[in-house]
Amino acid sequence: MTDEAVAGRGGKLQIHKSGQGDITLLRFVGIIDEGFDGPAVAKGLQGQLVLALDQIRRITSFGIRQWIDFIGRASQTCSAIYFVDCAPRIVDQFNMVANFGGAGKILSFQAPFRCPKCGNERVKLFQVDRDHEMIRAMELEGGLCPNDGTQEEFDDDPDTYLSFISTQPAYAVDPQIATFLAGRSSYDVPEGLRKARIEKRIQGRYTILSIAGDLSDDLPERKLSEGLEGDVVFDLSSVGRVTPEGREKWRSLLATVAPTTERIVLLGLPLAMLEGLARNEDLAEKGQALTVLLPHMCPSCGVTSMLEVDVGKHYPAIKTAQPPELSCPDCGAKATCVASNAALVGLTHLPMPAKDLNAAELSRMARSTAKATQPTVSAPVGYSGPQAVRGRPAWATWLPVVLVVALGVGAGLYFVVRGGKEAGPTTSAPVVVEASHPKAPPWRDQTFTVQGDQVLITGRSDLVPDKEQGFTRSRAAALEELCHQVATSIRDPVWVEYVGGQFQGYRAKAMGDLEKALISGEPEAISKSRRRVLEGQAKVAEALTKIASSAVSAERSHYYWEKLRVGDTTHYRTWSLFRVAKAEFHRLVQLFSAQQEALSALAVTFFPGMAWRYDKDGGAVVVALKPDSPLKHVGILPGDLLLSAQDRQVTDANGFRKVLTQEYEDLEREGGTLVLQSKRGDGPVVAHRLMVAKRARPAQAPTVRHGTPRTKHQGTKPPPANIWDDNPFE
Amino acid sequence: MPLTAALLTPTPVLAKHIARVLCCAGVTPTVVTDVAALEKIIEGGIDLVCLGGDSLDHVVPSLKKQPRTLALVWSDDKASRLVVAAPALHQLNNVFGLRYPAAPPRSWELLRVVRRLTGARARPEGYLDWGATVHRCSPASTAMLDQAVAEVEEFASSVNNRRFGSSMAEVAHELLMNAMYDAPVGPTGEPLFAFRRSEAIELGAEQRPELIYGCDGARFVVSVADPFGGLRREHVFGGLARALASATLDRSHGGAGLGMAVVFQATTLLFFDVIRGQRTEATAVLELDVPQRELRTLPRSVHFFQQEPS
Repeated sequence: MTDEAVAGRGGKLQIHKSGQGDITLLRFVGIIDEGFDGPAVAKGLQGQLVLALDQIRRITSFGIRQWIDFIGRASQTCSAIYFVDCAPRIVDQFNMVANFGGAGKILSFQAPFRCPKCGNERVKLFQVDRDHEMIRAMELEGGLCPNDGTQEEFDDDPDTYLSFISTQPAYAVDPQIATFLAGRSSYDVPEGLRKARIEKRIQGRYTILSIAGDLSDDLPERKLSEGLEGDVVFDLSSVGRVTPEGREKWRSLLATVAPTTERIVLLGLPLAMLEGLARNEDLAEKGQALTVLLPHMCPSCGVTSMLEVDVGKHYPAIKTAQPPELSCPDCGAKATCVASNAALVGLTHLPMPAKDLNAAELSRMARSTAKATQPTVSAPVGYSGPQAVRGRPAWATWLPVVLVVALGVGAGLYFVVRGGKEAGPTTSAPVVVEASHPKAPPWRDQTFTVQGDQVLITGRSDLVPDKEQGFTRSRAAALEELCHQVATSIRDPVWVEYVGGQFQGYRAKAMGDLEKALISGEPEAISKSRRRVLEGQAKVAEALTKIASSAVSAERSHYYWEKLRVGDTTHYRTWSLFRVAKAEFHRLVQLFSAQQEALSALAVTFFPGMAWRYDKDGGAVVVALKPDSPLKHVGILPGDLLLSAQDRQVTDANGFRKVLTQEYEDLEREGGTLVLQSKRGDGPVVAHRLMVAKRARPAQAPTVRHGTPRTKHQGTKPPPANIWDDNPFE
Repeated sequence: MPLTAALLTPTPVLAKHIARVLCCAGVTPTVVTDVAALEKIIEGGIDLVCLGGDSLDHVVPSLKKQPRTLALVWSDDKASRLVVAAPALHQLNNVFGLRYPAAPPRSWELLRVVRRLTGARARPEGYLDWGATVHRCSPASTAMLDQAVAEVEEFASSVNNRRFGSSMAEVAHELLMNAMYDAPVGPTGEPLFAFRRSEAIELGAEQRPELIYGCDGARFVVSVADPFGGLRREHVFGGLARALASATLDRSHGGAGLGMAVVFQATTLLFFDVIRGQRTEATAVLELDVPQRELRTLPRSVHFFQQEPS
C-alpha cells in the first residue's frame, strides 16, 4: 500500500494511514496542537499499531494532552504499539511527559549530531534493537561530517536525551513488523525483507500470486512467469514501493505471461502503478484490475486511508476519472478521494472487469490464503519461526546477512534465505556502529546489474578484523563474480563443455557447502567452507587480474564499509563496486572464448574461473583437435590445459598459437623433440615428447617417443576434409 | 526611597563583582560573609538579601519574620530545586541560574532584576543589545497566532537551525496561547476563551497581545504581553514546581503547568512581569552560545515581578 500526502484538518497536521493484515501505520506530519482530536483518531484502531513520528514539527502542551488521550485509548484497543523514526522533539516528549508512549515501544529514533569543526548539524537514526548497547552505554556514535569528514559529536546531553529510551529493555523486533516497516519508514530491515515476496496458490481455476514488498529490479519475473496458465490473479495490495526498474520488470512479466494465460486479474492495484498507467504495458492485453487502492481523507477524523475501490462497481464514475466517495472505515463518515490527478487519469485507462469476476470473493480468496500461511518472511529455508535459534531473538537470526539465494521451488516461488551464523561461534548479532557513508549505497546488495552501458559488479567481504583485509576480500568477490558472469555469457558449446565444465561444479559446490554450513550453524563447517570460498575467490581474482588486465580495468570504482560490533569484538564488512563498460565486458567474453589454432589443434585462453580447481593462472585449454593434429598423437585431449612448450610458458590462447607454431617450425629445420607440458583434470602435470622430423623429408606424421598413445590409429590416417566431422579416430 | 540590600558571600572577589553590579543598579549593599551576620541584618529590616542557594535554608526563619524582605538567590543546581521551593517562600521571586559553578550571576541579568525592583521598567527589546533585529506583531485571531508562530520559527531557524526554530516556535506558541486563550477575562473576571482552546477565536483591539521576538546574535528573545495582568505567582512557580518535582510531566491538575514547563525547558531565562489587572509580560531568553548538550542541564533563571497598578 502506498501513502499519499494529503492535507489534513486545518493543514497543520496530516495523518497518513496505511496497513497490511492486522498492522496499521499512522504517519503524523506537521504540528500536533489543540486541533488534534486524539480520541477520534484512536477510534477503531485495532491490532498492531505503528506510529511514524519523524515528521512531527512541533507538539504543543495542549497537543500533548490530546496525544496522551490518543495513546491511552489506542493502548486499550491495540495489541501492540510501536514508535518509529521518532524526531528529537518527540524524544524530548518521551523524556519529559509521563506516559507519553502509553504501552508502546520505541523501535527507532533520531538523534542530533554536530560537526565540531564546521558546525554542520544533522540527525542520525538509531534502532533500539540494533543499537541497544550504545544506548545502554549512553554513547551514541555519529558518522563522519559530509563536509569535512570530521567525526560528528552527539549534540545533546546523553543522560537526558536517552533517559527514557535507555530504560527500554533489549528486545527483538517482531519479523512481521520489520517486514511491514520495510519501505515504509527509515527502519533498517534486512534487504531481503524489502524484496518482493511472492506466494503462489492455486484455488479452483485461479492461480493466485500475492506480491508483498517492493516492486523493484529484483522481481524474479522469469521465475514468476513459469507455468502460469488459465486465470491468473495478482494481489498487489501489499506492494510497497514501485521503482522504475520494478515497473519494467512488471511489464515484462505481464508480457511473458499474457500468451499462456486466459485472463490476468489484478487486485489492489497500488497508487504508484495507477499513476502513469499505460494500459498496454501495465495491464497487457489480458489484464483487468478488479480493485484499486486510492487514498481517501475523512474530514471527520482527519485521517487519510488507502481504501480499496471495486472497479466494476464504480466503473461509470471511474471511467470519467471521478473516484467514488467511500465511508471512512474508522468513523463511517463520508471520505473524499484525494488521489493525484495522475492517478485519476490512470483510472480512465482501466478496462471494465469481466462480470463473472467477483472482486470481494477473489480478494477474500487471495488474502485468506496469504494469511493462513503468514508468509511474512516467505518461509526462509532453515527458519522455523521466531524460536528457530534457541537463545537468540528471532530478529537476530536475520541480521547477519549472509547469502541471498534464489531458489526455484515448486512453480517458481522465490525464497529469500538469510542465515544467522556468519560470525561462526559468535552468539551475538552484528550491530552496525559506524559506516563509511550515512546511507548504504543502492548497489550494496546487487551483485550484478546492468546500468546503461555499464555492468555493475559488487563484491562483499565477510566479517573481518580490519578494513584493508575486507577490501581485499570484497574486491576478490567482485572480480570472481565478474568471471562468473563472463562464463555464463559464453555460449559456445565447446567452451561450455571443455572449459566451463572443468570448474563450474567446483564453484557451485564451494558456494553450496558454505550455504549449507551457514544453515546448519556448525562453526567448524562454516569456517572450513568459508575458507574454501575465500581462497577460490582470491585465486580467481588474481588470475583475472593477471590474464585480463589489458582487457578490463580491475579498479574499484566505489566502496562502502560498515563497522560492526559482534559481542565484545569489532569487525568490518566491506563492499567494493566495479563498473565495467559493456564493451569491456564483451571484450572479456571474446578474450576467453576466442580460439587459436596451432598444430591442427584449437585452444582458448585459460579461464580465471578454473582457478577454483587448479593452482594455475595461465595456459591454454585445448578445445578441439583435428585428426591430423600431432598433439592428438602425443595423447593430448580436448579439455587438457597446455602449460608450456620447450620450456616456454604458454600463458593464453595466443601464446598457444605462437609458441607451439614457432617451436615446431624451429624443430622442423633440424628435426628434434618438442616437449609439451599439460595437465588434465586433477592429475599431475605431464610431459609429452613429440618427435619432429626435418622439413626436407616428405611430410609424415610424427612418431611418439614418450607417453601413452590413446588411439591405435595414431599418425597413420589422413585428415578428413572437415575438421568438425566426427573424429574417425575416436 | 532607595532600596536597602545585603549581600552574603564568603568570597571577596565574588562579593566585589556582585556589589559593583548592584551599585550600578542603584543599590549599595552591605556585604557580609556569614549567615549570622545576615540574619541580624534581616531582623533589623531590609528590602533585599542577595545570597547563594546553599545559604538560603539558614536564613529562611529570619525571612519569614520579615515578609517585606525579598530574596535574590543564585544556584548552580541543575535540578532547579530553588524553583521547586519557591511556592513555599513567597519572598523568593528571583532565582538566578548560574552558567558555571561558583560563578557570579550574569551581570546583565542581575542589573536588570535589581533595577526592576527599584520600580523602573524597560521594554523587552532591552534584553537585546542595540542593533539587534526585533520583530513585533499583535495577533488578533487564531490564524494570526499560527502565522506569528510560523514567523518566529522561520526567523529562529534562520539565525540558528531548524531544531532551534522549532523550539522557539513552541515557546512562542505557548506564550501566545496563554495570552490569547487563558488571559482574556470578562468584566466579572470570568475566563472568555480558556475552555475553548480548540476553537478559532477573534480578539478585540483591546484584548490583543503583543509579540516581540528578536535576536542580537548572542541572545534570542521571545516576549508576549497581554493587556489583562492576570498571571499570578502561583501560576508560574506552582506549575514549574509540579513539573520539576516529579521529573516528568503528567496530567494531574488538568495538565496545568505543561505549557510553562515546555517554555522552561526550551529557554535559559524566564521573566514574568505583571501589573495587576493591566499587563502581563512573559519573556523567554535563550543564550545562543550554549551548546544544546549543555542547555539540557543548565540551571535556569526564573524571575517574577508583580506590581500594583498606579
